[in-house]
Amino acid sequence: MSILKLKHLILLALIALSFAGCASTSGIEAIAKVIPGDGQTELNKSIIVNNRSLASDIEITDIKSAFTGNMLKVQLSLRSKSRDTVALQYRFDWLDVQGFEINSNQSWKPFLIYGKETRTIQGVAPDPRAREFKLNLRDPDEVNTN
Amino acid sequence: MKTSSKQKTFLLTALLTLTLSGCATVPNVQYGDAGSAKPMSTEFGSSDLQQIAASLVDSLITFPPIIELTAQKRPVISVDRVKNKTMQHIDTESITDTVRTKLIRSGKFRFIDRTTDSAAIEEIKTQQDSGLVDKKSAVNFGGQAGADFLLTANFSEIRQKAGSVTDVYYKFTMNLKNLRTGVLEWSDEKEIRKVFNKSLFGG
Repeated sequence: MSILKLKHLILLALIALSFAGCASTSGIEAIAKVIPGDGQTELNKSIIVNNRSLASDIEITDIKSAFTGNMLKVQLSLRSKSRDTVALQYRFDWLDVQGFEINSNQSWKPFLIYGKETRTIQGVAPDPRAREFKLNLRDPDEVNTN
Repeated sequence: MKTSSKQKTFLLTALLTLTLSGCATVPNVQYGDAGSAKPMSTEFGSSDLQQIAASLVDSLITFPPIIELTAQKRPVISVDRVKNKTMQHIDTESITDTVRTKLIRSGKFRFIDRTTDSAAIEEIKTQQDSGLVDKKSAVNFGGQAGADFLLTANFSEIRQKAGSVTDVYYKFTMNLKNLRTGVLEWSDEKEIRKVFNKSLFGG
């Protein structure tokens, strides 16, 4: 009987494992809105952490924006709290003054940050309408769908 | 008692099978993210194309002399063929197409597409010669805009192999040449390194 119980335990553990394999984790989102005409001032600057383990490795220390010509250019500073090299992926989403998304076919880009290093991610808006942006950061190992 | 425990084990096995098969559907085809950055091999992939195009376009439209140049007017650009010096057969026109699309969408440049010229000539010929088109609205030969700039590109790779490690370095260089003066107004390159480590297990 005790062997049977052990078997059940193993089976339960296997079931739990198989469920965990399907779990998908989102990453960190940094959102900022720019006042039209003045690229340097930001409103609603916010960072949403959806992945605690990623947030324990990476910290967004600064968000900056400016207009180069009529294009919104943004820069985010990332600091690694880990001793090891952390591989990340990032993607920008751009929104216009009314909050509509512009050019939704933005792609994920790989990004390496070495242990205890501070690096910046820069992005330029796809067109002059952009007034708001969102940076998505994720751990490539925790992405299930390609 | 014996039968019930057997039944229990059977039930658990069935449950386990169900949960395991929960992740895989039959047939195993699904839509992926077109913007995925998951490398499948060291060969040139879709994410590499997207990274190259995005990086070069961002560089071009934020380069101060280009901002000045495009502040008042939208210069006309013609795209040259990419010199593909890699060992791979890559549809390099696809890279320049993405760059061109992004540049047009930025609202800073206009483009001439030489690849569709034969169709355009055919259309203008029909308008001029077929007698079907009203002469007042027909398009004449010799009215098209000339390009101010030529966008040229070089694509090269350096491939190194040591034991089970393959290291591929890609470099995509793009130049904007002023056709009136011959001067390169802008140039930038995007580098990508891909490392494949064939592990002892699996791989």
